[in-house]
Amino acid sequence: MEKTEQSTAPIIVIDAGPIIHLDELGSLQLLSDFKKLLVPDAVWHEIEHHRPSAFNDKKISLDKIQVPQDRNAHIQIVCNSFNLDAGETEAIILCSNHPHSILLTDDAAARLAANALGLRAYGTIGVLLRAIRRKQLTPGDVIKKLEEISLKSSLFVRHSLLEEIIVKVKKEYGP
Amino acid sequence: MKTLQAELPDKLYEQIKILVDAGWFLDEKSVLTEALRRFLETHKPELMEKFIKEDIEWGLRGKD
Repeated sequence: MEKTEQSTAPIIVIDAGPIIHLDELGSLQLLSDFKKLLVPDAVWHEIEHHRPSAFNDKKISLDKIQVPQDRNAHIQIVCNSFNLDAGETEAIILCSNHPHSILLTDDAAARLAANALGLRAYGTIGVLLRAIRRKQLTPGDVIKKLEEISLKSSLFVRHSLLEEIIVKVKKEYGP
Repeated sequence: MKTLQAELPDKLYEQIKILVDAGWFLDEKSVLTEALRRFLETHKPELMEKFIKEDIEWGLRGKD
């Protein structure tokens, strides 16, 4: 499908979950639509450990970013209070350092912490659905990916909720 | 009370043991109960559903 222009595409700070889940679904290329993909050092190491094959996709350009140790105390306290791991914490810090950026994470606690800090956060499902709006994939392609989530990926979404999403896509874009 | 049996990675168990040995927790069970309680606080079904709905809204109707 024809790709839309990147002028409105945001800078993304990405946690390990969406990279791993999109790679499992063969959809990592969807990330190429974003202006920049910033990967904190700790997240980079998690991916290297859990899903090194994700780095093989040459269509996407991931920027490994060293997150400064001199950290904002308030952000660190919020991250600690939500028990975020090193990768999630660095992703939140990096996102807060880039105004208007979006955090991609599939971790509920990281999303809660992001909300508490006024940061925008979405997950793998959002990236898949966005692919329809950005004309990266057809609605039919995305429905197929949604159906494959429980079979091919380690992302857990309640089955009936996935069904609801599929019905919504069909309703908005036709069968 | 229910009894659960679970296998933990060695590294995770070592971290639990450090906390217990240092006197921060009475025993391993207390660490696991506290950790689970905290996890469940941030992983409520209604919360995860809310996040998925935000994903749908952004995905289908977002501006960026």
